[in-house]
Amino acid sequence: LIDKKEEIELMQRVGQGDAVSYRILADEHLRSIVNYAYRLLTDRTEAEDIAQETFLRLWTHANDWQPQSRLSTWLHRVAHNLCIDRLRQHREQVAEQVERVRATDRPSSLVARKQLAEFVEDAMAALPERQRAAIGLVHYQGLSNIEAAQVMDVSVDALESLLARARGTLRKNLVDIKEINGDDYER
Amino acid sequence: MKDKLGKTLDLDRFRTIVDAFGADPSRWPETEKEAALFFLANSVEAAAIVDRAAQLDKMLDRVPLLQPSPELERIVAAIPERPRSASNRTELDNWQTMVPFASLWQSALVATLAVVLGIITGAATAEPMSISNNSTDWEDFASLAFVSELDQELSP
Repeated sequence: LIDKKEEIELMQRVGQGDAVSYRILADEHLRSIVNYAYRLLTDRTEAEDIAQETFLRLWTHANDWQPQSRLSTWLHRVAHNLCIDRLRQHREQVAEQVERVRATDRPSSLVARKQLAEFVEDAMAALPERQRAAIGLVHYQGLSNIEAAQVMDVSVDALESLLARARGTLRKNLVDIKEINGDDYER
Repeated sequence: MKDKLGKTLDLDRFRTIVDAFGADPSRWPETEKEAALFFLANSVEAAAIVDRAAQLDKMLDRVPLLQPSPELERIVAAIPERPRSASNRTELDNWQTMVPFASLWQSALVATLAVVLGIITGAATAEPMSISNNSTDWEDFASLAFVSELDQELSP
């Protein structure tokens, strides 16, 4: 893991055009950014497009980064904004996808046909995008409440509310269904 | 209930924290973590809330992490090797993504510049029109306008 002091030095070098420093930082953060984009877009190809664009910005806009925030927060913010733009472009398509998940939202059919991981991904995809982003940042990416709020440009209280609503919906669609279906769910 | 630092936390706040951030204390807000852990250690109800949240955490953790494809890793690593023009184009693309209807704005901008340039060029090259009150000039001008009628009247 790169500590804060090293991160600042590497970013200064990236700003001066040092490709080696850039690659060290890209290696450190690429996987995390791909996974965050995937949580939001639920499409691997699009998630990789977003990651590519995010790291292009790291290379071309390194001097825009302010050392007060962690680089991880800055990269997540760039990726988040790119994902939201992408979702807006494809809003109708996403709405159809959510509707498809809801239409098949019956425990027995889902449990019988889907692997658990896919089921969880579908439940995540059915969340409103801001709730999905909040869960992605805090649960999967490990950002603090303050960092996640910065990425999403909301207050810490608003983030907490988004998280609680998201987890409430996920609990209803995942845990409660599991309790209804018992062992069948794990197959 | 107060922790060793004297911070207080009640059951409602504890439930709100766990409902939002889940069962793992590493995700709890840093400013309240110690008080929440102290509360958890001393409350059976708090333990039940955490157990319930842990069920959902376990489900969410069943989703595997994606590994970036080798192609993506290669492309990202090669970004510094791109020609300078590619970076410039990206900055233009960035501007376009930040401005709604950017392509329409571009067209309108080009048309406006063309009109402004035309006006400036015209103003710079045209000779100023002189207005004269000299009667001879006016008569010459009038004679040109009415010459055909005069010719007809004077003709035999």
